[in-house]
Amino acid sequence: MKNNISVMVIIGSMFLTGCAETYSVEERAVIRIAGYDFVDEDRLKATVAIPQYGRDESSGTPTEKYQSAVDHSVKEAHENIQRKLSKPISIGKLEISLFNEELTKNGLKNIIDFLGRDPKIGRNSLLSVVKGETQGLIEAKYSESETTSKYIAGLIKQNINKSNFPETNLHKFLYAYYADGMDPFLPIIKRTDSQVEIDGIAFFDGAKMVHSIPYSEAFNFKIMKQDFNRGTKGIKYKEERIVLENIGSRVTYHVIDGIEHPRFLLDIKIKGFINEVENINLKLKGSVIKSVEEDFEKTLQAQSIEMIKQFQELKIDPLGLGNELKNRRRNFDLKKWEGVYPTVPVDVKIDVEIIETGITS
Amino acid sequence: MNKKRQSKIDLHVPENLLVTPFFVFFLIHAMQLGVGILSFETYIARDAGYDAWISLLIAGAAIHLLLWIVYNILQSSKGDIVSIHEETFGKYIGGFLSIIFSLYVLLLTLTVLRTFIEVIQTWVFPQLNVWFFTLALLLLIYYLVAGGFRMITGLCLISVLLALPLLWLKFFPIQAGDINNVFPIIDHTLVELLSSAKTSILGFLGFELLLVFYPFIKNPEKSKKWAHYGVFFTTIIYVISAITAFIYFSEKQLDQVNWATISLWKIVEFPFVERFEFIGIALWLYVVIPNICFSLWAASRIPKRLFNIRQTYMVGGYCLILYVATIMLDERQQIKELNDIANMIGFYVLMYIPVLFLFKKARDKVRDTN
Repeated sequence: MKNNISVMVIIGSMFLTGCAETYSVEERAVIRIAGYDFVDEDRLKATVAIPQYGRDESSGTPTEKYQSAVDHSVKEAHENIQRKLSKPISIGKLEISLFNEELTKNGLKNIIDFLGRDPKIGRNSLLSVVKGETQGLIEAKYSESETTSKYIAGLIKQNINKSNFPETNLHKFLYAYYADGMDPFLPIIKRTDSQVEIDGIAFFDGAKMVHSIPYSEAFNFKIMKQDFNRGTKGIKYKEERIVLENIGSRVTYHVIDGIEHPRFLLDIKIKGFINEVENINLKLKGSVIKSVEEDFEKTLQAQSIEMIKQFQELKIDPLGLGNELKNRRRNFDLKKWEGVYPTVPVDVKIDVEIIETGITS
Repeated sequence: MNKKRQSKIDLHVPENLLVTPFFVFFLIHAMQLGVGILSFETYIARDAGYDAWISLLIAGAAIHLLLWIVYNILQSSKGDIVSIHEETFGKYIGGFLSIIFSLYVLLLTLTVLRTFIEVIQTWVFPQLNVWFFTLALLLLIYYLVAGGFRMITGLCLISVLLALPLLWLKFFPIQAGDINNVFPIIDHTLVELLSSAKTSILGFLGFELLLVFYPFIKNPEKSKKWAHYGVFFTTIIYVISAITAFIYFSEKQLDQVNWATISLWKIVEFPFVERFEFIGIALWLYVVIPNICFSLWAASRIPKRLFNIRQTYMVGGYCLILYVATIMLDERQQIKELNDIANMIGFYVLMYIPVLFLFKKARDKVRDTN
């Protein structure tokens, strides 16, 4: 009796393996980068790059083919792309999605829903706003050794990890998008002839882009947003340029007073190296270092407060002050908070400590 | 399988079919941890927000209390649920209640089976052939249950050991999250906390199977502490999972997520595997199979005790019911309703335990005075 059953189970499980579809890279259109452009109020154009993997491994970087299609929703546009392909689309390796600026200003609701709903899309995949057409950006050839998707994803990732750009990915975006008292932000990239560069940060109110800052101010935003230990910032010191290399910046949010009239204090501590001084005669020691530190503090503080003022005027909260208040004080009321946010006093205290000045004095 | 014919009241399980008290830990824990843990975070946070982890502790404490009551009932009668029902309510009413209990356990089995197949459908294979997959799975389950109670105990042990390493993966979301989300602690009223506790108590369903397998424990008095450890361990795992999800998701975002624990696996990234949730779901089959086997065994054990039929026939019959029901329920909405119904009935069963306790005590008193 028992033997019969075990034989049945073994045979059954053998058949089971045939139940699933098999996936092989060569036989699927693996989309790693997708861009969405604005067409009109309710239509968008999707563009994808499909790497053509050869049968032999020696061929190096795969060449890419590009396809685009117009329709009302993301899935329908993908379906239209599918019509032009000999292989089924596979979205599981999607590394980066691009949205053109006009589209973001009209709202990304349906794309956000698509990205959040599809179980095949990884939470670490990147999103970015593009100045100009995404189609042109995707279809241009940038590098012999990398595919476009790898190039652009690498560009954003390395600037997050090693430079001034604050941390962003699909999960962070969704987190801020849904959270009470928090608004998302995304990188803006721009194509300049044969290359792509990060142009700034786009700020959203819900699903709509309403504000942006240039990349030169990204450092200021990042020190307020998170702890990190990379990035550089230059200021004018007595008509000369001095550049600080951040080796460790810590930010602490303080909520002062109760829920009715909250005040915020952002306490930022930066440790850094001086790594470029325009005036070669300037000896960096003792009192000079003190005054350089003070200048950095003043400049950064003024710029940060200015940036927060702009956020408050536009009623966007990319720093998540509302979320912070909700976590620190009882009886948080979103409606009330949205009413007071534009006038809430936010102070920034910056403490710069220059630890080293390089190997020349 | 115990093939020896037994009289109904006199319950004796041969020693070679018994398990040592230590294994009660695994049995209780494996039965409590099923598919609920894949999605409970969203539901418990609906009432008490991010204070819901406190509700989990409340629910855990309540389960400890109920477990204590269950042991009290069992120790004074030295039987299982069938004999207790018969002693307390008489042959017919008692028998009827036992059958209800058996059907309830079968419903639990169905819920776990169908929900897990739904997970596979949404996450891994949208085009899954449900009738074929269920058939293969049920054949495997039938085979395992036919192996008897000790076989199931072994399975439970393996499932606990296999699922434990998955806890390490919580490291990834904790790293990406913000611990401040769980503050301020206790920002909700007691009523909200309790209503969330009511929702979370459903994650602990399954320990009541002790009423069925108690006679299979060697030196059952000694198993008490292991059962409590098992419940405690479950509570800890639930609390860790809940807090991790609360740290990782913002409150409104969590409300959008259907399977929070699987979504947490999504950000786990190793150089050799980009989509960890596939591995997680596949591994979870090892948690779900012992769970199904155990409850199926318990469900079929009751009719066997009542009517003296061979248990394998009962297992086969129940498998058939499970198979038909699984295929008939094919929409997410229906599966959600199934879960809601099972949870509601489960809650009543938990409420029934203290009632049974009181009835039994009263009955014993009357008998003593007579």
